[in-house]
Formats: sequence, structure tokens, C-alpha cells
Amino acid sequence: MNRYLPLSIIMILFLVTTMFQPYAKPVLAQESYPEMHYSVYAPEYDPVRVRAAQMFSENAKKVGVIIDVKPVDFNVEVTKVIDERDFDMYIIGWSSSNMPMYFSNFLVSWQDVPGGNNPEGFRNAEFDSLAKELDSTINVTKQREIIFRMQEILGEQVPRLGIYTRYITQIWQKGWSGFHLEYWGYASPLTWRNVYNPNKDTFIVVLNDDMRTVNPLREQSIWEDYVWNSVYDTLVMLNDDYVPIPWLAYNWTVSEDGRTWTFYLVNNATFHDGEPLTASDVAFTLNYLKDNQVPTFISTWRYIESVQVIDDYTVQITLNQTYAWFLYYLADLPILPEHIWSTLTWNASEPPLIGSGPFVWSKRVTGEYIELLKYDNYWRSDMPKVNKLIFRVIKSMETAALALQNGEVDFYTYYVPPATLDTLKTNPNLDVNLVRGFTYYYLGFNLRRPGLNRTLVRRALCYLMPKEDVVNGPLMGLGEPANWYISPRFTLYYNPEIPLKYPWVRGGSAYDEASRLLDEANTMDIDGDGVREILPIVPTQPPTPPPEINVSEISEAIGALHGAITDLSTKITGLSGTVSGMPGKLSEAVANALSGINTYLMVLTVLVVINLLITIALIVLIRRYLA
Amino acid sequence: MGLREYTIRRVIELIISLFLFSTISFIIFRMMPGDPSSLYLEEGILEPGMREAIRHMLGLDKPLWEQYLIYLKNTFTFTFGVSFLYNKPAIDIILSRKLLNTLALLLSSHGLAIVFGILLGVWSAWRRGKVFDISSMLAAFILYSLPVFWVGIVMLLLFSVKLGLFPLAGTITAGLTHENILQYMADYLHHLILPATAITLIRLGGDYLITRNTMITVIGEDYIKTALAKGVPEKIVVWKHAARNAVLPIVTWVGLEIAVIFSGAVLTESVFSWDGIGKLIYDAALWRDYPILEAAFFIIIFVTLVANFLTDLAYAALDPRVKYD
Repeated sequence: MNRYLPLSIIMILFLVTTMFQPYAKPVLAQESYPEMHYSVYAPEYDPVRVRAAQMFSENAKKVGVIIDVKPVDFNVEVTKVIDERDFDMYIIGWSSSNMPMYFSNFLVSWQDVPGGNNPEGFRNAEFDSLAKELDSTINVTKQREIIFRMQEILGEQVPRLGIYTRYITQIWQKGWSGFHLEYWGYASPLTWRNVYNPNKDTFIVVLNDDMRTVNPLREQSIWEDYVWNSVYDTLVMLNDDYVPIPWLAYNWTVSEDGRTWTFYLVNNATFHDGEPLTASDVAFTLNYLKDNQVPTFISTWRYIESVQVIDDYTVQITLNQTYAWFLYYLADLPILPEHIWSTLTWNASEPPLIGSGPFVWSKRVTGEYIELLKYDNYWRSDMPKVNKLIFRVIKSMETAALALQNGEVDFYTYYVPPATLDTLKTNPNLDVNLVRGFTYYYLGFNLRRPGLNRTLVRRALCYLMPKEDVVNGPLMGLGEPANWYISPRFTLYYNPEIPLKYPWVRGGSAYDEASRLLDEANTMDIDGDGVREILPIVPTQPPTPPPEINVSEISEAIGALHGAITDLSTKITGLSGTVSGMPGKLSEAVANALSGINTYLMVLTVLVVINLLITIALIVLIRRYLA
Repeated sequence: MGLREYTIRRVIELIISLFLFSTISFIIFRMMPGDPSSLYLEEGILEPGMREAIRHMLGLDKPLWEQYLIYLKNTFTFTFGVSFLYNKPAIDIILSRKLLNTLALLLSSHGLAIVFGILLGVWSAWRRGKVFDISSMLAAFILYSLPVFWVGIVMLLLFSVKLGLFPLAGTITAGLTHENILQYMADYLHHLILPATAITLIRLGGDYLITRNTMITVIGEDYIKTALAKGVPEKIVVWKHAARNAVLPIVTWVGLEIAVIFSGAVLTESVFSWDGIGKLIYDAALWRDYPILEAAFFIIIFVTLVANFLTDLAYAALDPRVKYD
């Protein structure tokens, strides 16, 4: 019994190796044809993005593209994508990437550096020159033309694909009015100045996260913005259409070359300690940021050359180049009192919070609330319209929704869980408003990867992103597919033709269209494992499909094979020594001897024959030995 | 070896361990991928050149050995450096209202859970197999398996929204100016009741089950039978003879839990918007706020080591069989 054991083991081993397909595969998968096997990163903390990636991957599999979903920590994703640029695809939510001002600095060749805004490695000469032109264009019509064309290039080349955008829920107690919420989905600074209720004089707002620092120059989140926007004033403000309107500066002029800006300030603005706000405070603030290289305001001071005080209420800013978005950045800049900040370091941990805004900093209990009181000498006597503004910290969205139902808070803008939303909508005391938020969730391709560097492949993959299903499935209808590169909220800059002109931008589950594009991009499954290989593009000649196999060809092939095998067998001097070298030689021999036949079948046959021969030889040897 | 030598040796060991652990904490937090500048990315405020500027601001562009020296200096002067997120010395952030909130919440809820867990566990074991035992076992298993955030939301819905008995969030009423310390404490307690009850309910199950298990073993001992046989009243046998021995494992367990208190209770703190250490450490880990993480890690290790040391001393003092070695 025992003496037949080695024999049977050897028999089984050879049978298995013969029948097992992968055995033959490495012999054939020519290294020059990489498979379409990719991965996609998604932040693990967000189930919606992870699910979107999975649905995308399931669709891609049906057309022969393997995409592994890799949910990772947000920091890992940033490191891999932005810093190391070592990725195939990624899904991320980017707040500002669908803003027009972003168009002068993203996906351009000079941002294709580690940490830059072009992790995709997108390179397009026209796009680059348009971006440069945009940065120095202040004419709105011209800007619009440039941005329209830039969106077209993106739609055509699809280095990125918008997936969806979420709705922000804006909820307030009935009776309150004066909200300015149109733009981000968040409350604009105008809200705190205008909000009004004839029956109440305290307005309580939910902050989803506590302020982390109490220094306006260290602002980190929208929640801190809420507070700073009430305590500090800015030169200009953005209205609901995102157009700068006069504020502390009641008027301004700009020179022909767009480099000299003159601002005329109102003359009755004062800081909370009674000191008047003058041109020298504005000049001080700008110089202070520039001298200290304050990172959070880098876009504001980057191009400032000098600031001159013309008189008490006129200030002139000279830039070292034309800067189209300067006003937009000034709308975020708190004007600091010179008499206080001139002796402070910019990142002081607890500077005196004296601004010129409509509310005076009164009290803060860490982690609980921030209380602001009306500033009686605010330069606009009609504002603010409440006596007290309380920002209450409630970190859980569910609890915030409960607090609204309970009437404990007056106003909340952020996301709420879908289940809670229905309850809130039926509450007679609440106004519920859903708006398109400004965060843009998109898929980015690494254009350095084989396959993904082909526009047709990217278009095909776009056709496989089931945007509608993502919105109706994991997002539970609280959002919409994002078929754009600039949010439609920017009515002026949004190009509505993109999804019509470039249908792939709409996504979906269009397998036929995707397969057609992938075929056209010269990718096909040549080894029958269900995954496409990326074949080199031969410009003139379309790829020839693998010919049909017929019996006479096979018998011919086997005849030729016979020759090859005898040739081989002479080379095989000792069985044990050359087994490892065989596959390489074999494929060479096969490739020489036979072209035009299904090579896969052929080599399989050869392997079977050789295995059989070896097995027989071994059996004979072993039996003799045993006997 | 006497008590003095033993103490000195243990203190030296403590210092060496602290030094080792602080080096480890420097290394492991910096081994996590990413750095604090990604916070600005998630908030969407990515401007060209900004990340380098932020890294420079936070001193992350310095060579690692230099960062390590700064870290050592900060650690052993107990300042732990300036927090990246909060722009204040990390120690001030941790040893603040947040720590007090967490201590108030966890000490009260764990205390209640232990007391009730022991009482119920002892009585349940004594009444083993009876209706009381079976029903409380069932209740304990249900409580033990409930997620705290779910219990929290249900409690909020019931007691705050439907009945309006307790406030929804925070530790004090927003915007209220308290007239005196008593009013402040009443307000604080009013806010504390719901979250503390939620944790108590969840913890109760575990404490109960452990006590019941040991109690059942103890009841089987001969001295209990002897006590009953010689006519000692049942209550005295249960509470004096049996329960005393049954609670020992609980005491050991509580000692181990002390370190947990310093890492807070993230889920409960989130549901009830309870401003505590748990969320602080969670955020710090998420956004790679090394100074906060290092300070928290250091404090947790310090407390654990000291607690261990004190337990050993106490054991030695209490039990004459234990020798110093």
C-alpha cells in the first residue's frame, strides 16, 4: 500500500497542474499587455462614497475592467493621492473645486507636483493657457467665456468626473426671517445682520462643532466663520448670487490693468472699543497678513505689492499682477484694529476679540456655547435686528434635529439623517428647506496609469458610474447627480451644455456604450480570463480580433507542434533541471512556429502532452526502482 | 527588602518606563500617514502653497531629530507643545473643563453601575434559578448588548422631546447666567442625569454578570454551608460572608478601568454633546494633532503606572503574605 503512495501523489500533482488553467496563464500573459486592473480609494468614514465606489466597481466588472475598492483613512487617501500621487482612481469630497475661482489653479500643468491641485496629472496646453488668461481677466463676460471653454475641455477629456452633490438641510423656527442662505447652503454673513423675529430678541444657532481657536486668523471651519462673520466686518460682502457688494467700502475703483484697487470706506464705522475704523486699519490688516505670511489667508495677500493710505477713509492697494478674484478673497478678510493687533503675534492663542461687526464678543463656555451681544454703535443703524446671538454647540446631527423639534434652538444648517428629516418636515413649527450644497463628490483618474491615460477609456468608465443609483440608494434621495465642473449655483459661470455635449459626463450604467468605447480604445480580453488587456495603439490598423478556431488548423498546429516538441526535447537534458525554464522556451517556440492560432489552446495541449510523457517516464522509473 | 527600598526602586522603574513610552508615542503618532495640514483639505480651503506654509507654521518641516528634541523638552516640562488644532498648550486643553466633564460623567455612572451591579448580582446569585434571577439575567444580557448611542437617542426622544424633563445637549444651559454656585451645580446635574443613566444602564449588565458568577462560586464554598448550618441569619451570610469575597474581582476590574476614564467615552459624549476628553482625543487622532495625542497618551500611561504602583503598595500593606521584591 505504502509503496504506491509517492506514485499516486505524483500522478495527482501532474493531473492537477495540467487541468489547472492558471498554470498555463503565466506562460501566455505577455508582459507587454497589462491588464485593466485598477483600484479606487474612498474615505472609509463615509459609507456613501464607499458604496458609490463599490457600485462603480460592480459595473466595471461587467465590461471586463477590474476595480478594487479600497476604503482608507482620509489622511491616507490625501497622502496617497495628493502627496505621493500613487493611485489609480480616487473618490473625494472637495468643497471648493467646483467654484469658478478655482479654475485658475487646478488641473493645470504647474500644479502637477506633489501636494499640488493636479494629482490626476492632467496636461492640456489649451487648458493651461486659459487658466493663465483667467487669472488676469477682470472682465466678467470674458471670464465667463474662458471658464465655459475650460469646462468643455474637462468634459471632453474627463480627468475627473462629478458623482453627486448632497443637499444641505436648512431648518428654522417659523417666525424668523432675513436669512441669506442661497449661496453655500450655509448662512452668509448677511444672515447675522438681517435675521429678525418680531417676537424674539435672542437668536440661537446650532454649531456642529465647537470653535477650536479664538483667533480669527487661525480659522479652520465654517463654524468658526459663523462667529467671526458676526464679530468682524469686511470691506465687501458677497450677495446671494455670489457677486461682491459694497460693505465697509461703499465704493471702489480698479485701474485699467487691474492692478491698482482703490477702496472708499464708510466714515462712521467703529470698533467695539470705540476707536474709529479707518483706512490705516485696512492697510495694517493687509500688511500684517503679508508680513507674517499668514497661511490661512495666503490667497488674499499673495499678490499684494503695497498698500497706501490716501486719506482717513481711502485706501489704495497695488498688486504685482492682475488678480481676478481679489474682491472675493477680500470678502473673507476680517478688518483688524491696528491699535490692538500691532502689539500681538498673529497666532496668539487668546487675542482680545475686538472687531467692528454687528455683534460684540461676550462670553464663551468651551464646548457649550458662544454668546454675542448686539453692538449698539454699529455703523449701519438698522442692523443687527436681534439683541443676542447664541451659537450653541451640538455635535450630533440627530440631537440637533431633536433640539429643533423641542424649540431649544432657532436655526440649523447642515446635514440631517434622512429618517429624521421626515419628522422635521411634518413639524408645524419648523420651516425646512433643502438646497444643493457646495461640496462636490467626484472621481479622479490617474492619467499616468496605462489605460487611464486614454481618453476613450476614461469616457467608458464615466459611463459606468451609476450616479442616479448612488443618489437614490445610499444617499437616500438627499442629493443629486453632479454633472458639472462648476456648480449650477454659479449661474454666471456654469456651462449647462456639458452633459448634453459630452453624454458620458452623465454617468449611468451604459454597458454597451462603455464596451464600445473600450474596444475602440484598443483594450480587449485576449486571454479569456474576463479581464481586458491594454493593447498598444497602432494608429493606422485597427486591432484584428482573434480568429475562429477550426479543426484543420488545430491538426496543422499539432503537426507543427510535434516539430517544436522534438526540438525542445533535445534541449531538455535533464528533467529536473529545466522544468523551470520550460515555459519561456515553450512560448517562444510556439510563437515562432504558429501564428494565427489560439495560442492559449495550443500551449495547453503542449503542456498536457509533456506532462503525460513525464508522468509515464516517472511511473516507469519508479516501478523499476521499487521492483 | 524594606518598604523604602521597594518604593525607590519602583519610582525609578516608573521614570524609565515613562521615558520609554514617551519615545514610543512620539514614533507611533508620526508613523500614522498624513499630517495636520489635511484638515484644511477636508474643509475645502486648499490654496496653492498653503500646505507648505501650514507645515512650516506647525514646525513639521524640521528634521525629525529636532522635532524629537523639542518634544522631549515639552514632555518633561509638562507643556506638551502647542496643539495644532486649538493653538494652545496641549496640557491646558486636556486639564480643563473637558477633563472635569468626563470625570463627572464616568465616575458617577461607573459608580452607580458598580453599586447596583454588585447588589443585584449578589442577590440574583443567592436566588439562583428563581424568577428574580432569571428576569434580571435576561435584562442584564439585553442591556449589555445594547449600543450606547442607541440607548442615548431613545432616552433623549423619550425624556427630552416627549416628556420635556431633561435638556437635550450640553453640560449647562446655553446663554444662562447662573446666580450662584448652587444654581450652577443644579443646572449641571440636570444635564448630567441622562448621559450618566445611559452609561450606567450599559455598564450595569457587565458588573452584574461578573458579580453573579463569582458569587455563585463563593456560595458553593464550605464555610457558607457551615455558617448556614450553625444558624447565622441568611442576610448576614449573603452580605457579610459571601458578598465580601465575591466583589474582589470587581475591585480589580475597577483598578484596570481607571485608564479608560481618561480616554473618555466618545459615543456617549457625541450623542449628548457632552464636551469631554473622548471627543477631544478622537478628533486629535483624526486630524493628527500630535501634541494633544502625546499629552493624552502620556497622561494615560502615567495614571496607569501610578495606579498600578499604588495598588501594589496597597496589596502589600493589606495582605501580610505579599512580600516586597
